[in-house]
Formats: sequence, C-alpha cells, structure tokens
Amino acid sequence: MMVKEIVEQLRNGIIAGPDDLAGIGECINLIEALENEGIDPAAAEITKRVKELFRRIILEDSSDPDQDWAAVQRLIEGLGSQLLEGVTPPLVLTDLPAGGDAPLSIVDAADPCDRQEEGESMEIQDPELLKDFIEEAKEHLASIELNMITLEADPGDVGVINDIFRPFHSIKGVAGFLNLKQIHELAHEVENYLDQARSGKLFITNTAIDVVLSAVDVLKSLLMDLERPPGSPPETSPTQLKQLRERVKLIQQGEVEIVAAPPVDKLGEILVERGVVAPEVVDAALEQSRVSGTRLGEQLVKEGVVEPREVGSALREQRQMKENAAVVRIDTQKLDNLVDMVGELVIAQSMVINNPTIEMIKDQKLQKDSAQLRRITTELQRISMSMRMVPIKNTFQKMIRLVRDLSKKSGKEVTLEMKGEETEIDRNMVEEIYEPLVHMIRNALDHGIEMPAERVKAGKEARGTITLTAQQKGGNIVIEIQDDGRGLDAAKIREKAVKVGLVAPSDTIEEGALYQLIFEPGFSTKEVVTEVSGRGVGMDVVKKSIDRLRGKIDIATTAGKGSVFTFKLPLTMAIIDGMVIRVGKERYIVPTVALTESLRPLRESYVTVQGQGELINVRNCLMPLIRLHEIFGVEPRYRDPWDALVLVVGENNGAFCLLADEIVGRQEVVIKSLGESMRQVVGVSGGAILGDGKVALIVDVKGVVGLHEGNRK
Amino acid sequence: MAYKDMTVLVVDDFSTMRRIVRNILRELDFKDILEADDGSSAVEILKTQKVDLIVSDWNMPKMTGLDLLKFVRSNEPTKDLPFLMVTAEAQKENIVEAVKAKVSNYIIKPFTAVTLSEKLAKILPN
Repeated sequence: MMVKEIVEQLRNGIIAGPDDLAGIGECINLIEALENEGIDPAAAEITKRVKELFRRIILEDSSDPDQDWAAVQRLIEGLGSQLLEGVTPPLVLTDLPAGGDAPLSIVDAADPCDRQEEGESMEIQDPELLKDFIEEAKEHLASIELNMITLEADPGDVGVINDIFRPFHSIKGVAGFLNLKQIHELAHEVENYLDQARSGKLFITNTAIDVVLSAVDVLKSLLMDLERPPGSPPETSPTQLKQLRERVKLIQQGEVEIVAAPPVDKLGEILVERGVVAPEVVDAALEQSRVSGTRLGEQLVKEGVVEPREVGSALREQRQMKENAAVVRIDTQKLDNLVDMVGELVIAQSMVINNPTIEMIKDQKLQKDSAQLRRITTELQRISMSMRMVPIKNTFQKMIRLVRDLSKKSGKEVTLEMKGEETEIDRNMVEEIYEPLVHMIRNALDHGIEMPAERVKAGKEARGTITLTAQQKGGNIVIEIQDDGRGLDAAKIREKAVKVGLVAPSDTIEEGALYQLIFEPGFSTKEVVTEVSGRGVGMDVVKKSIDRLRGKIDIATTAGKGSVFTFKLPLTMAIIDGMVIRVGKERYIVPTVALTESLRPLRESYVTVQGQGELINVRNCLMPLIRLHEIFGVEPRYRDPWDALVLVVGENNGAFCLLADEIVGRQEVVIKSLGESMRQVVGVSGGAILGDGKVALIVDVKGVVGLHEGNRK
Repeated sequence: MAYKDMTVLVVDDFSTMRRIVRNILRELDFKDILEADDGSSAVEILKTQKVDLIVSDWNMPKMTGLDLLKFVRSNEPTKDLPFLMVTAEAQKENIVEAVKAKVSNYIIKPFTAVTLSEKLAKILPN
C-alpha cells in the first residue's frame, strides 16, 4: 500500500474512541506498515510516539488518558502533514509521552488476594469449586513431576519447559480467584522463573530442578491443608514456605552452572541398589519400556513402583558416576595414528603370508600359525576401528527436536521416524554430517511436505512423515532422508536451471542429472525466503560437505508422492572400500561408493555420436565412455570395450562408463596421501598399498569425469 | 440484546478456571454458556453454533488464545465477534500483540464480576 493511502486511512479516523481496541489495533498495524515502507526521521519520530501513547492507552498506564488520546489524534494529523505535505508539525510538549520509552513496570500494588471478600464469596456460592480446584491442581502437579524427569534428561527442551510452565500458571490463576494467598504467591514465583527459562533468559540448572520439585512438594502439602477441617494445624510450616521462596528467588537470579545431559542406562541398577525397587520389576519394566518406546524411568513411574523423586535423584547420581567413571581421554591424533598403523599391520601381515617363498613351504604348523596371525590382525583392526566409531543415534536424536520446532513454526504437521540409529559411523564424520542432515530435513519440511489442507486435498494424510534411515552396506554407510511430500518438480527445476544459465534450452538432460542440479550454488526454486529453510542455500553446502567426506548423494523422487535423498558415505575416512581394477600393467582403485555396477558391454552397445564421442548403451541409457588408459597414459591390454570391462559410475552430470581391462578384486585399503606436491593432480585422490606391497592409485571419479568433459570440449 | 439471551463461549484448558468464569458470567445474568478446553474445540463449536461473545485464556497448549483470536478474525462468519482475552499481570505486554490482532478487549486475572461487567459493557452492543 502506498504511503498516501495509508495516511488517508489514518486520517479518516477509524477509531471510535480510546475503548475501541480493535480500531486502535488497526491503527497500529497501519502505522507499522508505514514504517516498513520507509519514512523520513521526522515522521519516524512521530510514529514512535504514537505507538508509545497507544501502548499506554491500551494498558491503562497513562496518568491522563484524555490528554493522551487528544495527543494521539494531534500526532496522527501531524503525521499526515509531514508525509503528504512535507510540513513538520510543531510538537507540543504534551504530545511527548512523559518519561520517554520507560518500559511498563509491573506494579503488584495490591495483592489480588487481599480482596478477601471476593474469594470467600466465590466459595460460598460454589462450594464444589474448591474441591474441583484441589483435584485439578493435584493432576497438574503430577504432570509437572513427570515432565521434570524429561527435563532432567534434556534441560534445553523448550517444549517441556512450556509444559511445566503452563500448569504453574493455571494453578496461580485460580488460586488468585480463590484467595489462596500462599499457593498463589509460590506458584507465581516459580512461574516467573519458568517464564524466563522458556524464553531462554535463564538456564535450567541442577539447583533449579531441585527447587521446582521442592515447590511441587510444598504445593501438594498446601493443597492437603485446604482439605483439612478449618482450624486444624497446617501441614506446611511458614518457615518451610519462606525458605522455599528464598530459594526460588535465587534461581530467578540465574546461575552459571549448566546441566549436562545424562545417559539413561543402568538407571535400574541404581534404583535396585538403593532398595527402592526389586530387580525383577526393573527387568519387566525395561522390557515394557522398550516395547512402548518410553524411558525406563518414565515406565517405572507409570507403573507406580517408584516415585518420580527417586528417579530424578537416581538420574543425578548416575550423572555423577559418569563424570567420575573410568574413562580414558585420548588425543584423537594418537587414535588416528593407531588405526592407521593397524591398517598397515594388516597389509604387512598379508604381504608376509602371501609371499611366494613362504607359500611354498608346506609345513602344516606354519599354515595353522599363519591362519591364526591373520585372524588376530583382522580382529585387531576391527577393534581399533570400533574405537573411532560412534552410533549415529545422537545425531538422529537431535533431528527430533528440529522437526518438532520446524513443524510448529510452519504450521505443517510432520512426524520424524528413524531406523537403524544404532548404525555406527566414524566419529570424525559425525560432526561433518550434522549440518547436511539438518539442511536436508529443513528442505524436506519446507519444500517437500505440504500444508495439511493441501495434503488432504491430494488424498494424503494431513500428517506428513520424514523417515531417517541408516545402514551399513558393503564398506559404506548409507543414510536416507525420505519424505512423503510433493516430490521434486522436474519441469520447474529445468526451467530454473535454464534461467540461471546452468543448462542451455536445447540441452537434453537425463532425469537423474537434472535433480542433481539443485546442488549447484545459487539454485533455488523458491522465490520466497522462508524462515524455516532460508533460501535453499543449504543444498550446495550439503553437496560440498558430502564431497569432502568422499561420499555421494543420490536423489529419487515421484511427483506428488515424495522424495528420497540418499547419502552414501565411506565407513571411515582413513579406509575406503574399493574395487581394484587393472589397466595395462597398472592397478587402480575405484571407491565402491561411487560405483553403480560393472559389465562387459556387447559390441552393439558401443555407439559413437557426432559431437558427443564414444558412448555405451546400458539398458537403453547412453553413457559417455571414459578411457582410463588415456587419462592415465598407460598402454591398455584391450582397446575395444566389448573385450574389456566397463565400470558404471554416477556423478553430478549423469552416469559414465570407465573402461578398464579387468577387475582384480574388492578390497578395503588404507588411504595414503600422495603428499603436498601431488595434491594438485586431478583424477587421483590418493594411493594405497595392496596386499603384495605394490602401490595402486585411488581414482577420483569426479576428477576423472571432469577431465573427460574438459577434453571433449 | 440482553445478556440473558446471548451465547458465550468460554475457552480455557483448566476446568476450574472455566468454572470460575462461568460462575461470574452467571452473576452477570448470562444463561447460555458454552465451554471449550482448547482452541481447536472452540473452533469446532464456532463452526456449528452461533456465539455472541468469546472469553478466552491466553496461555493454552497447541493453540494459544492469540491463535484462536487470529482464526476468529480471519473467519468470515465470526470476524466481528466480540472477543475478550483473559491474561495474567505478568503477560500484560502480550496485550499489544492481541490488539494488533484486533482483540475487542482484555481482562487481567483474577478479576471480579464488577470488572468483567465494565469490560463487557465496552464491547457488547447493548
């Protein structure tokens, strides 16, 4: 809307009077619209004052409402002159809100509970009311206790803090009406602290948790006092109450200590040790909790065998234990060195055993001992690698909260499901995949999953699902992010790609390659910047991260049904699972993560096309043939693809066929860097020592494809 | 229209609170009082019944009082429905938000029948 139009609307006086809050609201919205349009400082000064005056009028915080109202009208008139006629109105002293921008001070001048008469009369009229309140308050307190357990495990969970804040707020509210002074004050204090905690101004500390739980206990006893016949001594002592309130005041001031999230295993042991519960009960509850997906602590409380209090304190003891536990801290560099060395050991051991001279010795004992040696070194390798592996569960778990927050913000209903979260991944990679996973989930939620109404219209359930799966396949770890949203729109992607200049209008692009384009920097089909996922800037960063990890991203999608993004990553950074191939006299290693299949093409499958070079027809898909012997400058055994072997690899721009003489075998190899001077070499990403002691170069598929494309042009 | 002929919808997730508000409304001569324990049930009621006044709490799970207000104001049949927001002293600052979303008026708990009566006089046609 134009400034002129807005001012006209303002001037036409749409507010009926200082009580017309809706009208005032309309006015404030218009003024903010004006500010967004961009106005000069003099006008901005006026709008600021008008907003301040409105605030006072609304909150009934003004010393002279009539004067303020008149001032507002004058200022709006003046605003009009300023913006439309460029005439700065003389700002009369009375137009200025006294005290500048002093924030509204919350003055609890009169304790609402001092209105004795009101409270009492309420009870008299409705004696059931008090009973009702006590019932409901007790339920609230029980739910607070349960939620506190969850909060202890994850003190940063705003959702849970909110779930604890609300019942305190509700209890406080009703206590106010019923003139229950002590309950009202205590609930109010705790509510204040929780309000700050939920907006991030204060942390949930160990002490705070204790204090809140104590407050729950005291509130319970205050409620019990209400149930007693009048005149009998109260259960709660005034000193107890006073001390508690002091403690609450302390936590409101904030502490420096931050709670670290405790793990939940062995909780049962602690409880059994304390004699709180029998071992069989714990076992049964453990079974049940696994089935129902709850935590052991929650399950035990649900069954009524243990007080939430006990669980909370057992959890804390456990945390203490963890801190003092027998762990060894080790320099990751040393660990990496150890793993490397063990890798070398495996190779050296293999070299000795496969030595032809040794092989010729037909001694049975030697055979047995060699076999034993091999077994031991393999196990040693497994153990050393496992020291570096961590379950991907932690990373996946962080996504639950993310999905919950994002779905709330976006108004979409989304559930996150996980499979295979015990799958282990090299700890060096865990950090690296966190960001890419977050981006992918944001994208799935923002661009993939539709709003509930749209989904229902399309015949889907209103609630969308994102599924995260992890599994080990071959020597790699495969992570899938699947959503049942609207899928990728090939036409739109193509259109954008042409617009951005990535693709010429006349180019034919295979579907798979088309989807890969979304990883190009600057590519985004969403015009609107959404708060949820930004401008889709994440995608090229995701690709870079996965590349850095020597992994691959695959995309599969069905319009209207959903998409699956697959990350294929090597199990660890130091060792790769590779296919050893021979080209001429040399051997090379192609990482299996990049490999789709290998085959010997038929003569008819070999095609040459004007302007495109040599191609191989693989199941009706034409793929460029890349002659590795040309790239690496070696004399091959076979030049005709139908005599040799072709390895199909997938890269950004599609699928390619690498020509090789033969496949020697599949092997896990320790990657050795070729040194600084060789780092610039394109097409080779490192070297490895094979079982016989000879060196094989590791093929950098992306680089080789790039070279081929470059040569072609 | 007299209070006794109006239909009021009271929204609060705490049943005792709803009861208290109901009692006060009865004091003021309201007879037809509907209740909802969260925003979505309130929305359901509004779809099927004619309501003359909404009294809603601010702090509710899933759909807050503000969310409900925004729905009411964006829904053609209810866009001018008198809406009274119940809030606590400590959350007073939120009121400006509600005003921008066109709330009719607000009231701070705990309140008396007298205060409620004054507020209602400002927002109900009489």
